[in-house]
Amino acid sequence: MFEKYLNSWSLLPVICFIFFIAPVVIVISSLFGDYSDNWSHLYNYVLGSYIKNSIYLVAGVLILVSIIGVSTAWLVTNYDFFCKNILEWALILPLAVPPYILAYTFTGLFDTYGTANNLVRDIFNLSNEFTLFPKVRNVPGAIIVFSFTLYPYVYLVSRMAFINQSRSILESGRTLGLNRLEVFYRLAVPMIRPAVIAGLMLVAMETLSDFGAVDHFAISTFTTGIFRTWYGMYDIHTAKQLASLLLIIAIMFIIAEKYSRKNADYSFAGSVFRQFDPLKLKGYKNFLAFLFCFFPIFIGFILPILELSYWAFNYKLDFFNERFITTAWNSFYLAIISAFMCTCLAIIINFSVRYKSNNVLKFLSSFLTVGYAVPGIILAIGVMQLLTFLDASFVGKYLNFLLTGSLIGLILAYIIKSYALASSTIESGYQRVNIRLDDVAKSLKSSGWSLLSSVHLPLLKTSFLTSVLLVVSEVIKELPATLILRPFNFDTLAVYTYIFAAEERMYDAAAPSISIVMIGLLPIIILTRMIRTSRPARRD
Amino acid sequence: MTILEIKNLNHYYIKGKPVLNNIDIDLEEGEILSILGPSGCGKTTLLRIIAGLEKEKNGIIQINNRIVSDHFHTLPTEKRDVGLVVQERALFPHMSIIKNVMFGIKFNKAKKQEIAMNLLRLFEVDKYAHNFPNEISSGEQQRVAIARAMAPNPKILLMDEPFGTLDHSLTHQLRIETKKVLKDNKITAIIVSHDFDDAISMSDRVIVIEEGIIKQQGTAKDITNIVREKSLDFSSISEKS
Repeated sequence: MFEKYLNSWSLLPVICFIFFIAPVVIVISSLFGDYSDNWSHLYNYVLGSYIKNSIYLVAGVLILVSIIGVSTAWLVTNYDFFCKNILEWALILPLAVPPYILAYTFTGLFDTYGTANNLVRDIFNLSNEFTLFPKVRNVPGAIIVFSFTLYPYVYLVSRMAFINQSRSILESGRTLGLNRLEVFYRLAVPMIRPAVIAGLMLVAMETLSDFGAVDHFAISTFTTGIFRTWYGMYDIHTAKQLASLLLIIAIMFIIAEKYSRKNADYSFAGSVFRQFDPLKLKGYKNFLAFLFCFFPIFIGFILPILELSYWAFNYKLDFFNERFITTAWNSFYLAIISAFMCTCLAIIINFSVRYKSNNVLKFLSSFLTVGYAVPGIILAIGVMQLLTFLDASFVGKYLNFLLTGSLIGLILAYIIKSYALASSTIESGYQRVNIRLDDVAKSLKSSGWSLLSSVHLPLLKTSFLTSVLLVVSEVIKELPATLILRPFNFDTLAVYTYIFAAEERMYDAAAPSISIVMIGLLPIIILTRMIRTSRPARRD
Repeated sequence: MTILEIKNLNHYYIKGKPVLNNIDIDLEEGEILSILGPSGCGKTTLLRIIAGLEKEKNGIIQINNRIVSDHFHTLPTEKRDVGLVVQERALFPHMSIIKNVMFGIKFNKAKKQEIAMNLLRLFEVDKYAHNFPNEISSGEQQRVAIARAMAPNPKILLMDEPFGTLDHSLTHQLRIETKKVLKDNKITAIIVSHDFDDAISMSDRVIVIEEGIIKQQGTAKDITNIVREKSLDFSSISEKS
């Protein structure tokens, strides 16, 4: 009985579980400690504005993201219009742009003396006081920034759900007197609601956990509050208590997301699947559909790239200096090490679940993926405290070495944050490996490591590479955890960008920003290839 | 000599709904046994239990006079000395045909190659030795799958619906070829099938299972006679499948 649960293949998932959960438990445990005067100050004067701003921000982003994500997915799935085949995959390009980089370019573009206002003044020969574009350093500006970088999460799930939607049901709606627009909002959208909600929950978690964009726009939210409490008031305990509140909200979003995914395919039960050709749009409808799909790509990807390139090449041609190269190298090797370790863990743990199929391992494995929802800032606080504890208890005492302030903490935080990406990629790779291969291999006396190395690994090569690329791009973008956990005088591209942007030296921030976007494009290219091949299968 | 002995084997997934009920089977060395029955009757589960891919609820299984599973312990698949051929063939797609066959052989490389080539020759697929599984036909793939299972020289060869996905004429030809190889090499085998012709033409003895219970057993000739005498309609087995 026990040998089913206690074996060497359970060891790694259990160790990972302990290291993944410890930072979260450390943060949450602060709620049960003393509350200092700083907490009273926060509670009486600023907590209200943190909550209010966070609610406005998340609500605004969710509304705008739903409109952009669902509508563009509906258009590219059901209609044929100008450049549709390009727009279909280009709509996910903004995923390569982290919100903080779009925030930096937005301020550079739309501030009173930003590129856009200067251009209007030059063209129309207007006075310096004239400003056409309104200020963006406020909550509505942040809503736009988040919406145009995060809408691909909703676009991706909506498109997949629309592709798999039963055409027979939609056609029944037409015969019952609904026009095309009514079919969209009365039938098609309600049917994909669980999938959309799951996407929206991811967007909400990303918005709440962001630090760079809201900090640049000087908006008081939980993340900026945590930073200020820690680095301004030097009160880590109160910072942890604030982080606990954010974590509780994040857990609520995780539960909502998991619940929605469970119901994601309810709309397709019992329906006969039949696809029909997309309707060809003509005239102004053709142009409007193109414009509607092009606009989010323009705001979320083309505009920041143009602005960053303009800054980089016109103002700072010597950006390939020694500091930039050192920083890029730091980011690169840190990302590669983290991605490699994360992917290896994901492979071994997914193999353990498949090989020693038991419910405890399945639970542990699914729990490990919730790290993606824990805001980077909370993770950083938890990891920092964990390392301090380990140093004080035995590592520092016996090994003459300190974990705190080393790269180990940073790599641990990256692994916890990115494990879900690696695991889901490896899991989907495993779904394509026939379980009968395992049965046959076992009968041929191949088991354990031999089965993993000689049968599974060669078949998971593509998934391995995809996972490494996804984690690399995630690690390169990560800002708050890097800011807190990096060793002294150790910069990455994200930190480099942040430091320049914080000093309003936008031209200097351009080169590292472009590098981050370019690296972020690597997994996007893989995703676009998948999108181009993900046509609906005939299931008549 | 008895190679396989199963005593009082019971299995269920949901309590109160037995999948296998009091199964007793003896298999002599060199004998080919067919287990015949409709889909869901428990025959594949029985094969998986013999292979060690599933654990029975109770009962004793002995292979070559060694207990491989009882109430107290279970030997994993890789230590049971069984070969397995499945309906989907499950050839390793990233390995060439010869590497597939060499996979389970535990000798030095030259010896492995020699054994593998001999088996491929036996099944007349040696010309594809360096091809990959997706480059050969499904009939050829099935021959390779059987050769691969035979390569480590197992005590029993377990075959689950080995010809299930092949067309009629190919099935007929493969039955003859496979039976010849098994008999010439004195290989003990269990073939699970829902196809009456498979069972009768391939085996020395047939066991008919329905709803987890052994309903009939005897030589292929006995079972054919019973079918004739009682005018039993075995097409129903195929239909249920």
